[in-house]
Amino acid sequence: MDQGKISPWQLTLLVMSFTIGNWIVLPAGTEAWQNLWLIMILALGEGLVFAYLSLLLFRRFPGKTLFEIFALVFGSVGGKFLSLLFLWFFLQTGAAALMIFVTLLKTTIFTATPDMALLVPWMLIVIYGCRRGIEVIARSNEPLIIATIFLLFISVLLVLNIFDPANLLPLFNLPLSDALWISVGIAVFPFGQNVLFLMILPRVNRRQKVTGAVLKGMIGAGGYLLLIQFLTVGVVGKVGEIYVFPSYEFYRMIDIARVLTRLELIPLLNFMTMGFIKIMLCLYALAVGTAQVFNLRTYRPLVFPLGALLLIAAFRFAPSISQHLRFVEEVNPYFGLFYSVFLPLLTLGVALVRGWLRRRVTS
Amino acid sequence: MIIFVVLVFISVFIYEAPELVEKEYWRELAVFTLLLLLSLVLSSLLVSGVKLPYIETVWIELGEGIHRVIQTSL
Repeated sequence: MDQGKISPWQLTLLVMSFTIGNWIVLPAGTEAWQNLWLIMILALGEGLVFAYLSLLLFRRFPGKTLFEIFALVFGSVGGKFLSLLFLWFFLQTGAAALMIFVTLLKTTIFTATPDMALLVPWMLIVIYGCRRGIEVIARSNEPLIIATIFLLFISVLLVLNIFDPANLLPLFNLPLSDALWISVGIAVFPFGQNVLFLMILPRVNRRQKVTGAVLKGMIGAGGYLLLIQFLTVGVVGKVGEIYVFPSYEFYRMIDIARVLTRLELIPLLNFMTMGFIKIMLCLYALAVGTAQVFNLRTYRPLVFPLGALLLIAAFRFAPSISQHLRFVEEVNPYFGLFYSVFLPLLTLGVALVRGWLRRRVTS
Repeated sequence: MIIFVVLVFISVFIYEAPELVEKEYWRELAVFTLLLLLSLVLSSLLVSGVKLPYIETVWIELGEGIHRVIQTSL
């Protein structure tokens, strides 16, 4: 298996990139529009609680991946069944990011380019990176996330002349139950998807710093997405609700003395870099997970066939972006709660009960 | 197009398999071949125009079905 090691700081940056991923161009909970940036603070809080609970699993089984924990807690058959469920989660998360990547490019810049021409070269790079191991993924992520953060700070300066605070109003015009439900949706997507890192945590060289590293990464990504959302609402106003890719539209409106215009390449660049890392991490978790399910000694030969499966899943993910938005709004909260909250908590609960029973029997 | 897809998958097999045979990683070879065949079949179906179901449509229909069952039982 992969012997590469990453530092807690690299883990923080990976968590940031993974969380920013495709949310940067396609936010969830747009029905709350002007309240969305506020709801995100609540969602981040919920996401941190969910992540902390999942990290308790790693604290109880240090050095074990999620699939190894499943095998220890539920036995061979039960563990393999839950592992297969999670393999599907990794596949679906990666396929969704890939589908959004191709939809964004097809509807904005490469309108006449065939899907295959966009996806196949992209997947080849992802497969190559994934075969090199987690260390290479973490190192390649460092300049990409720094560039992404730099572009955000530049964006704050670029929108000063078109940002209108009146666009942020009205605030608090949403029923509390709706706001809470939307916050749960955001807590599981994008924050809850970080459950994938339970496959990567054993590769961190200083295990005692893992919890802090993951939580810091989530807070960083939450702050980043909150600021992007805040700027988008302040620039495009109420009309932003109807856009499929609101941040893309907001960058289109930037106009500094008719010299700096058409800067929509910035969100594309941000998504291409962060989405790239997200898809690569999904494929890595998928390959390592499959290798563990079948007790293999290496995951590398599996990367190409699984990458091809990811590509096929992206092609047949959703018939249209509108259906994907419906999925994110109606199905994803349940789906995310099942994977990000229910299954880790169930595992933790069963592990605690079994430990307690064992102690009673021995005493 | 199918011929091209088959050629790509054969090339990948030729690239990966010898190393696995050399190291006597038989289990790895078996899983790799199985996954490669699965991807090959699905890719061939996709490029030949067979309408595979959409993942999200399946989930949405499943969710609606569960919702209907809950509503009728209440």
